[in-house]
Amino acid sequence: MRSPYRFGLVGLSALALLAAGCSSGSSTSSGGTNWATVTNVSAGGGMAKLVAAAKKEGTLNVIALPPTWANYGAIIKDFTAKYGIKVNSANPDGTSQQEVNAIKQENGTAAAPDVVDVGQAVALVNTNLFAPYEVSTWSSIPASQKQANGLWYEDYGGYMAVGYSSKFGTITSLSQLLSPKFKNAVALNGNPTSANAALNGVMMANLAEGGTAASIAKGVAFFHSLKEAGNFSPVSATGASIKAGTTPVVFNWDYLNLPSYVGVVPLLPGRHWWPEPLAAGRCPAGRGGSDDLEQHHRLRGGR
Amino acid sequence: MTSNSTIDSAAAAKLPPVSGTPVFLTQAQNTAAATYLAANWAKAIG
Repeated sequence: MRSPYRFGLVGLSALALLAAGCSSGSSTSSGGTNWATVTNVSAGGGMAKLVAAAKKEGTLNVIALPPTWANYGAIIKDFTAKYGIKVNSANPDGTSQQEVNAIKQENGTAAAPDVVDVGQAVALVNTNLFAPYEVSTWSSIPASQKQANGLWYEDYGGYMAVGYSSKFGTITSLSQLLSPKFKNAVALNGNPTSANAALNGVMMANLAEGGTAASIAKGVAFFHSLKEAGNFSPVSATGASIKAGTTPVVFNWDYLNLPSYVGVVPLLPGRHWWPEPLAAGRCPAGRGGSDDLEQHHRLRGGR
Repeated sequence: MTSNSTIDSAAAAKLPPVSGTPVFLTQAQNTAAATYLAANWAKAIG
């Protein structure tokens, strides 16, 4: 049987490193190594030297990493506990575009981001802002999921799902969302022109409506219909908005619909599913390996 | 992560099941979507 929901949309974030001239941290020289310009850990003298240089600098500036997104809250806490390096986490609910704006606006200041976690669409048009670096697992990343010279790589992804309050019963098709009972209820995770999760939410609707990955037009048309029906909510969904009931239907990554949203179920045919809070654990996006500093230092992808 | 045995099985088990063939946007498709949204999103929901 052909069902419009029998697909998964895989979205990925790109990890991008920032070019020289970002944070004014003192990483420029440690034992003769300029970590701002080396392109892999071996070229810099090895993991121990990277750890030493990072400890000497003392802080890591990250941006747009919500604590409940991909386990960032626990990762940041663990990073600080392991290395004794303070993590400055700016604008945790920011979008990919806001991250890029911060790179430009804060260039050269102590607040400038050291690393960004942006969606691929935003990464691809801002590669001039990134510095090349290949993590130690570089060879295991498929060629289609990284920039050949190390400007960015995709480090995690997820499937899109429609999470909704159990008060709506069971939803089995997107067209149901056009009914009056969903008045002002259907939200995205941000604005799709600047937020990767929202872009992929529109793409999911696009595929469900018979569109192809090559053209997102049918997805935009679906949201136009939602708007005409009075059902589209301009509120950018967050864990707080869901708990407050202001965004009872959310197009979002399945792992974000998962943790905090009792009564939210994925839109899959014939499935009822009530989530429990995620246990603290390894980052779902982690690639494993022993060089945690390197990987965490290059936190990335998916906003 | 599953093939490398680095996945948190308990966490993964809580994700909803997925069936069918995943759609994985290429760089060109991602760029095309972003371009279309920039030109058409505001008026679609305006």
